[in-house]
Amino acid sequence: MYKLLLTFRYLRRKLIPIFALLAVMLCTAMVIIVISVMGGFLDMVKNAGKTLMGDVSISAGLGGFSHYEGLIQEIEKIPEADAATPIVVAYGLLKLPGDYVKGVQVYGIDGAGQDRVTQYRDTMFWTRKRLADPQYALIAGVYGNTDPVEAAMTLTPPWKELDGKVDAAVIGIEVSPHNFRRKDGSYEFYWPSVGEVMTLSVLPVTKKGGLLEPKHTRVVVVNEFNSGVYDVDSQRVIIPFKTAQDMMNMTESQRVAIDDEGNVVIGPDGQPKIDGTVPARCTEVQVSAAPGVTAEQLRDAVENVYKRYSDAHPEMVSRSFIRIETWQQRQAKFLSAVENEKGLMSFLFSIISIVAVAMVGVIFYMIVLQKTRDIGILRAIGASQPGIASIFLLYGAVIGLLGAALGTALAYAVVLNINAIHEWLGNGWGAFAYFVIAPCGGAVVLTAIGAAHALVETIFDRKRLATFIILAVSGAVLGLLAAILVHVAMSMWPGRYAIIERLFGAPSGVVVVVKAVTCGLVALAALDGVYCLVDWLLGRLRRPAKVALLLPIGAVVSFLVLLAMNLTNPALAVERLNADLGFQIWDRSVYFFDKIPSRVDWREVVVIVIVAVASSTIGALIPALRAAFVDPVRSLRYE
Amino acid sequence: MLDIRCRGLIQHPASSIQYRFAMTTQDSILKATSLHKHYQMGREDLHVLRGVDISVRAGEWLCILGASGSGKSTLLHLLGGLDTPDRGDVLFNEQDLFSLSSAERDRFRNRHVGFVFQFYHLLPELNVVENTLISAMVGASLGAWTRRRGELRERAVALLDQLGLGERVRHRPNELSGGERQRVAIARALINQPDVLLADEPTGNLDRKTGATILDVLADLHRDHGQTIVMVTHDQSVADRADRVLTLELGKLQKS
Ligand SMILES: Nc1ncnc2c1ncn2[C@@H]1O[C@H](COP(=O)(O)OP(=O)(O)O)[C@@H](O)[C@H]1O
Ligand SMILES: [Mg+2]
Repeated sequence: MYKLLLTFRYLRRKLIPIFALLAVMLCTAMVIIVISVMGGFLDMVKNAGKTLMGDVSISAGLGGFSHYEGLIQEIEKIPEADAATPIVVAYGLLKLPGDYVKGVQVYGIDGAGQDRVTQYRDTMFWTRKRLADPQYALIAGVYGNTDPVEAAMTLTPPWKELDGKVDAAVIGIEVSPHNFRRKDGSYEFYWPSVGEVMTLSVLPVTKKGGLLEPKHTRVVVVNEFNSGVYDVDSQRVIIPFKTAQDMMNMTESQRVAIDDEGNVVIGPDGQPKIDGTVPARCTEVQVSAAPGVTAEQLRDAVENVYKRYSDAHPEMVSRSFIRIETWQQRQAKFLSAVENEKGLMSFLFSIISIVAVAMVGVIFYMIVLQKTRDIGILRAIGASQPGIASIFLLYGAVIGLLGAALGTALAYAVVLNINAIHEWLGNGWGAFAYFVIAPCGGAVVLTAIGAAHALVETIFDRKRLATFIILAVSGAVLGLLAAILVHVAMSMWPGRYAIIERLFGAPSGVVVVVKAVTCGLVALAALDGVYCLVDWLLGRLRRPAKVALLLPIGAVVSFLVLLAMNLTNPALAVERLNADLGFQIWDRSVYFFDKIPSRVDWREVVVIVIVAVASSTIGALIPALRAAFVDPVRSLRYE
Repeated sequence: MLDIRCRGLIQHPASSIQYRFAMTTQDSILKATSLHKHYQMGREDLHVLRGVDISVRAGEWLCILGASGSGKSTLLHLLGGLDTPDRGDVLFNEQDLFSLSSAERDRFRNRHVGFVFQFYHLLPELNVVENTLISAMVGASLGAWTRRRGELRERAVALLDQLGLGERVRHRPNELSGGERQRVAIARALINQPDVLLADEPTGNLDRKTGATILDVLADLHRDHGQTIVMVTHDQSVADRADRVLTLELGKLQKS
């Protein structure tokens, strides 16, 4: 019973455990944030796979393959497959309003068929619901009473005056340069694409891979789609399957006879002689899996179907031209990148947890040393060794639980606002944040060193502990605070502190700060070590206050090193900060998606919280054992 | 033998605390035979206790007088089972303390002895009543504690009241004077109604007048409740208050 009472009393009365709490909190928050973003990214890649290409695709080169209709029929018969749809992929040029020409990927699809395989309908940007928003009144006017999603599904112009004259197209939301994405992710349309007639040009490819004359066609934009995948949203133009087939010369056609020298044989009527038909082609077939069937199972089944079918139709393109892949295989580039980063992260996390365990351990050890007398008292009134140990273990667990709870809350807040925070980091305040965060990190490390040193000192002189810790912490924090202030001042008002800038160079960012802090720390640790050694050799180590002064000295050294390092590259200007450091951490085109994905998986959170509590308890283990083995007689002897 | 339980301001806590030490009708409640204790000081061997024999009778107030450094505290710690001797036995009602497991010895300390120290040794985080109750808490499981909480609390408050601390139950040790702190320490030592109160220079840190009030408290306990007390001191005038005085000299006890 006394264990609970003392645990909570110790928690309430002491400042030091706050540090342990903070350590656990920050570690927990960090892990949850990163896991959430990573998990969100993986989810999004998976989803993108689903929304964009189905579970399994059969694809050939741009030349395409024939007999796809029969193949689709066969595939749809197998239980593993849910639906299959043909696609014609081509590359072309799109001329947008303002004579803006853009290279695009042309996607000829059958709207309804596509919707059965992927979530085609759900990617449509213009819906009745969105058009109800007054800010889109202009575009709502263009649509009138028609349904934009329906137009996208049928890929026919909803406007009577255009029907039959031009083909319909659905273009990616990022295709038009006149669509401007705001910071919050919503769009502004300076020159709406909907209803605009644009010219699409493609180069048809023959079955044998030859290039034909460019073909042009006029399309009217009936909708725009937003898949969330930047690469796709900025490049894809969707048109009706038949139109694409036609443009690419992939419809069924008559075959012209060719003689041995490769010349076209001219018939008696003066026209090229026809000696058969060329079947229609597509470049890709996408297949979705039946419920409960994995992409791998589906791929194997499709592979079998394909084998059977192509054996029966030897005139189909050779098997070696065909790729049958799951979406994971097609996304391998991104998936493996994420997997890699995940591995790296796990490594980082193990280090973070070790740091957390060590922090809790050191801090608790100090508490135990401070509390030796209390432990002696408790032993004298009959507390057992396991009882004493359990006070500190319980204490560790409570710190872990509180820290993890706070960390979870923090992480949740960050994850919810991750895109806003990212934007914020991207502008001037980001610099400020960096200048605060980096030195604070340094201060935390310094504090840890101070704590470790205090521990060593305490073994020799218990009474000066409090003084020592206060000196150590405040020294480190003050020194770095000075560094922060100067740097922030310089970064916020470049030019105003011209002399400082001339002398030391403008701050070049986190790299320098980190380097400087590291150098400072090394110098500090070395100094501290030498001092201890000398003191030890002289046989008078009981000088904690004096030794503590080394920490502010270290902080000053760290500050000077910081300034000196700026001196070495004075050319770097504050304005280049963002460019240099890549405050735009999430580069849309690099990371594939337009937003930082994130999702909080509560199962993961529970595991992380449990690990945090366990780490904290483990950290408290050695101090708890130390407490259990305190000799009560010795601890009670003096005041 | 005097049965302190029947007479006391404190009724014996009923069920939860079980005695594995059978009370005997024998006179001596605590008995030590040829106790030896050495301390290793670097290469030097300090032979502090050199065969101490002592027999504490139930209900007596025994004082051990000795110069500073003569080993009084060491002896007291051995009698309370807090420290282990290098040689010799301590018997509590015929039970050899050092043949018990350490857990059993912990329990023995909790139920049968109460320590009072020169430097009070209160827990700074706890207030007066909590400091008093901590001994009871140490001995009780969470369940037992929740069941008997109210009763124990009442008893603690009554005890503190009797020691003149009725108004200070919510104060923390650092808000109390030395004499008041020592009275809290006595309350803590008494809350489990120990068979023996072991007091190590209880007035050593107090001025003469305050010290006298503490001795009055001990005298009251002894007289009114038959509390067995073993007190050590270097002060002859303090020793004079006890029933019987033994002198610790050169590691051995002598009648004085
Ligand atoms: N842990 C220890 N290590 C070495 N010497 C000790 C230790 N504890 C006590 N002593 C020595 O043993 C002697 C007796 O100590 P103590 O029992 O405290 O005496 P008293 O209480 O009579 O003043 C003293 O000389 C003291 O210095
Ligand atoms: Mg002493």
